[in-house]
Amino acid sequence: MNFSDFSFWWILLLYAIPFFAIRYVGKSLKLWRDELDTIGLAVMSLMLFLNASRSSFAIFIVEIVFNYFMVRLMLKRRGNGAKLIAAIVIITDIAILAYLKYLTFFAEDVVGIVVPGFKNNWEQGFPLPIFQQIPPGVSFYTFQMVAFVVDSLRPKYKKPIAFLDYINFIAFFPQIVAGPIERRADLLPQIQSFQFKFTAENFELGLRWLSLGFFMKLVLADNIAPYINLQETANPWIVWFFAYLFTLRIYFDFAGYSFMALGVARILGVKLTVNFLAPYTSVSIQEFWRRWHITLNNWFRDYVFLPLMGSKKQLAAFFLFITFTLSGFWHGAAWNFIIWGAYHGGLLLLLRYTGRPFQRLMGKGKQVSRFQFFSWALTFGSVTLGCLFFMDTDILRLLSKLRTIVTPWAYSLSNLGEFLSSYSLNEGAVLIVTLLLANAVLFMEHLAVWQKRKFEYELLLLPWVSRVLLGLTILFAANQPSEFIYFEF
Amino acid sequence: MVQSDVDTPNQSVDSVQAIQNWMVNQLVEQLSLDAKNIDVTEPLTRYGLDSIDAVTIVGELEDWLEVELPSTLFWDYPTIEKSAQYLVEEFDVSAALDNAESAAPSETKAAKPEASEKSGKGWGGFWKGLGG
Repeated sequence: MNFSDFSFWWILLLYAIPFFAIRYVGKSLKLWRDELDTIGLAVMSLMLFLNASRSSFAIFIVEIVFNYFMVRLMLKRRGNGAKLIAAIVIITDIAILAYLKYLTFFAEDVVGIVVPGFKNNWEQGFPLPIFQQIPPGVSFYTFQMVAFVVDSLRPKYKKPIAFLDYINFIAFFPQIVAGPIERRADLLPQIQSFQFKFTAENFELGLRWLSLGFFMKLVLADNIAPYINLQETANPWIVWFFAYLFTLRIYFDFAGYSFMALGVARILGVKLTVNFLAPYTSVSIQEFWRRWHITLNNWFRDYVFLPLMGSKKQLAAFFLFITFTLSGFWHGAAWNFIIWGAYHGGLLLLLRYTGRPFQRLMGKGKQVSRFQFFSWALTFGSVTLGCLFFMDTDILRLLSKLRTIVTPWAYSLSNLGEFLSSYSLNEGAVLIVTLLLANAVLFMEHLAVWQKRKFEYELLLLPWVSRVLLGLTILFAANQPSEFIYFEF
Repeated sequence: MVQSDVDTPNQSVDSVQAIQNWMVNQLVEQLSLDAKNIDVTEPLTRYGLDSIDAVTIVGELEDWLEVELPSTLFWDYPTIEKSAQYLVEEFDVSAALDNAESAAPSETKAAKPEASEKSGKGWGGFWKGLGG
């Protein structure tokens, strides 16, 4: 859901006031049944999803009915019969996703390159509607549906699931549009026993997550966004600086969203998976991928990497590279995302096959303590370079930027001067304050890791810190909120 | 002396310690580290453990402890301390540890081909992998 859109909060409020008033009266008269909470949650989720995107909602209704009845059928069978149904459901779900997300890319950027003239004419003869942009949420709920089918294959899951519980599991409004991609074992039991329980503890914790999420999104991500200009290709200082700004923006945007989802769900009494664990504190790319978009990475690990590899562990490196490239392709139907995925897969292998001999050369054990800062800087620099691929769907412009940053003489003092004088006093001041706040948040994450606290966001979730973040959000929230980046994926 | 079916707390502590030692040795071997620099409470990724190591070490643990383990062990329990505790709490490892103490190193190596067979191949292996 678009938590920074007023219509979301209005609809939530306009629905919640009469619903909870009726519920209160019903409870007082002892006429209220627990199932009505389940219905109330489903109506709330579907209404908010309809408001978020009508096209996505229509597709969702078709998919959820199809998936539910197929899984129901699957649960009644065992062995190959169940696997066949699972395969049909997964192929159908992925085919719908491919049609909505990748059709234009395949037609224009794959076939169009090989067949002359095809790029400009293919739409005329195509019998189905063509989506230039994927309806929001499809990528996320498709992955959740696929995971549910696979998890339900396990022998321990044979009990049929109620349709309303399945709707609430897939359509739970805090997470349907952009995750976290929840798993059956984590979310379904909470949904099956769902009741609105507004406890003081849930409200307090939910509010703290919301404060952190709002601050990250509305103050940091949205104030950084207007400063990023994709057109600049000639000045390496500016190219790097914009890549750095984007690196900050994408984290605060998506982690902000995930934390808001966590907060809203917590207020309702549901615990969602923490999707980020301070990824910019990582001292290696391996660690980064354990901390970034965790539910998506776990999805690719469990449903792509491990099953593809099977017993062929000697080919693990190859399958790891393929998995990362596919993960890049999931992010968007464009070459730059494929390159980005391959870049990260390649980095992991590079670190494994060249980093380790280097470590041996430097001497056993020294790297752990002595080179921590160097490792962190190298990791953050590599992630920032990766963001350069991620942020630009125009491949020719991306290549031009890459040429610029590898040209030593482009790092001239005159280019540095041009970069420093490119902002007015006011623009510069706003940017500096935003960057100070952003780095203060990152520092508190680092501090929690250094102090070996139980949780990376422990300091940022302290009650007084939450109040300060909420106050800062009221003071410094951007006037024009930008779109959530991950809604496009 | 009759041995109880239930592990005493001391036995559990010993088992955890034995598994921790084994994991430290694996890390030392696989990542070229010095054992004295390894902190069992640190996330394994801090020592450079990647996805490939994570699945291969689980395979070796399976061979050593003679139990079938989740491939995602080191994702779900990301430190040596947590994963060793989980193994002792959730699996019957005492017999395997007793055997391992007396077993020669060559026996451990000989068990490997058998372990890889149970993972399956082709699409059967794919589905088995999906099923976790």
